[in-house]
Amino acid sequence: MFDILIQGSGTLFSPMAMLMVVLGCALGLIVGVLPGLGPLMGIVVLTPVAFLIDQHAAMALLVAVYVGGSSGGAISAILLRIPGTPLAAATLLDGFPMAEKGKGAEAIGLAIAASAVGGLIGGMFLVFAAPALAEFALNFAPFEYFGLSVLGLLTVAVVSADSKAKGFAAMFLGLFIATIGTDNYTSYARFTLGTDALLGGLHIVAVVVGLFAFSEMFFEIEKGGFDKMHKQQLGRVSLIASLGTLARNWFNVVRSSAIGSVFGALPGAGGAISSFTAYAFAKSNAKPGQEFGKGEPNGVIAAESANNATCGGALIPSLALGVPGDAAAAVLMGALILVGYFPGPTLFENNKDVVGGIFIAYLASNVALLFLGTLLAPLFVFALRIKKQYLIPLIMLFSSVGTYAIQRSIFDLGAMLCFGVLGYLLRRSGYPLAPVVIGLVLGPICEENLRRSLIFSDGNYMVFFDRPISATLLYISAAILVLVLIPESVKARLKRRS
Amino acid sequence: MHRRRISLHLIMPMALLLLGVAIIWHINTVFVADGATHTGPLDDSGLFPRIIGFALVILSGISLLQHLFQRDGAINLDGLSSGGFQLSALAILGTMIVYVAVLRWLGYGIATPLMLITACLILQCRLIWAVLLAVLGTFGMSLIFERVLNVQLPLGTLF
Repeated sequence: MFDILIQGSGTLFSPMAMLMVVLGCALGLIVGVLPGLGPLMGIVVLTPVAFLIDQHAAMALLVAVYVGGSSGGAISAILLRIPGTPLAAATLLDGFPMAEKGKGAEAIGLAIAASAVGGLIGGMFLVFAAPALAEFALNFAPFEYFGLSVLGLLTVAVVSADSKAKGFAAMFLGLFIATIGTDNYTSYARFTLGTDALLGGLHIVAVVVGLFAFSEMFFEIEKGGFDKMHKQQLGRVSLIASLGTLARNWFNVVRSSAIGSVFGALPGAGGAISSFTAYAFAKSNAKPGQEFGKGEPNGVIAAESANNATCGGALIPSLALGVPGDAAAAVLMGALILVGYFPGPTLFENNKDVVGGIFIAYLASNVALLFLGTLLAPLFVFALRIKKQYLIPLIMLFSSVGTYAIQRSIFDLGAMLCFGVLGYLLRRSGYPLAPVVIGLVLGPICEENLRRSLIFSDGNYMVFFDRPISATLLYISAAILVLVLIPESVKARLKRRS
Repeated sequence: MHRRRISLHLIMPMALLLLGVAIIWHINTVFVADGATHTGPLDDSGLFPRIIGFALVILSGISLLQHLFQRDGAINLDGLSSGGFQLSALAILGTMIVYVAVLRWLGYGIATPLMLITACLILQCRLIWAVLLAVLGTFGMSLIFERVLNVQLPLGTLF
């Protein structure tokens, strides 16, 4: 574990990488602050840029955006009662009442400090748990990898949709998109419509930028209010006072961070669930005089330490097993693959410097968050004033140029637009987008291991149930399916009878 | 408005169902004719897509049935307006389509500011701010990508 960190420090402690940590954290905070954006959008928009710089600096940038973006949502939640990201939904329960009482600066200071400390605790969890999990997974053969990818696909699709059938259909759509292009084993061109441009498949960045950035842009345009501006004032945010409050409520911080880390490590559980769970724990253990929901600092502490600890937790299965913990981690995984590193146990064997670099980038981002967040809080409040009529063209510009730059391909721009329209239509029809990306990332892993397993077993599908680990993974997948699908069908039957 | 929502909720599962059917049909005709399916698992290019095709058919069928029989799949569309702003979204999409179409010929330096000015005007910016944003945005991105990241943006063939 420590050798990983030492090797990582060699690659990450460069001026460029450190600059990227600071820049990424600041950009993450800005996209987190702006309602409608968030860490995923920040990573999506910056992935094309990251692809063009040094790979270690690129990962540092994206990890820092992930950390900053997960925390920035608290600022708009506290000041405007609009969570910049769903992760900050629990923060507004006490953060906004604090702001109403004139304690906005205190609430923001607490949110930032709790996020940073929670993130650091989640980072410790990541540093200890991921290598152990990866070492265990070194014994995995294609059968186990297939089981793992099925589990990853199922859990994320299940938890991310109101309609499970739609969540699964979105996931299979992602799997289909991943099959477009030349088959690696037979060199047969699949679903390329006779065009050479599709022989290499669709570029993941074009697909992801289209699905998320452009569909979100269309939604924001539809909402109108192009010249609406949020005017907010903020007093001085004190780092020392915030850390003092955290120290006095250390048990809440540790408990909430532990909840966040564990929930983050479960693929698909996500930060919003963990922050509400941590909030519920804090509320149920309230001391006399603590009034949750009416501006209780412990509410902000619980929600924010949990949601940033979730990021560290989410990176555990993503890095150790190649199963993304959430949609943002899936895009991070995609970026890692793009720069030539395949997440999974072999990454821990062959590229310890990369893994260590990511660990250190994650920890450094949380330290940077603590100082940047406190110092620049008034500036992020200013970011809230950017009118939509200027923000949307800038997103259009950045997404288009970034997507073009990766392969110098105008075809990619066309693909990005097509997926923007598809993403918009999917969202309007109640289909979640995260499973599409998960399918896109896990599709090749799933297919490769399915086919390799069937080679070993002479086409016998039961081989997956003959091996204990793959069988366990598939049984867990089946149990998840049953748990999720049965109650809904029962509910539907009861409704129909009534 | 209500009728439009329902139709969209029917169209997407239908489209995905048709996609599933098309995948299976494509494998059973084109893949088979090209000899890409009839050998072992490693050589069967249609194995995985076929599973995807069947899954899409089944899941989209379920979504369709759920929609037809339950009609309670409430979708959160809070804050969405249906009138003029949808036209704005379509206009922005049209602008982007034209931008992608002419980028090869006009080049980044001409097509991008035009696209940005059009987008800003669609979003009701004042012309002076639209021009300023377009010029600064285009120049700024060119500086970042061409000078810092060494990426040549499209030069254009027309001029």
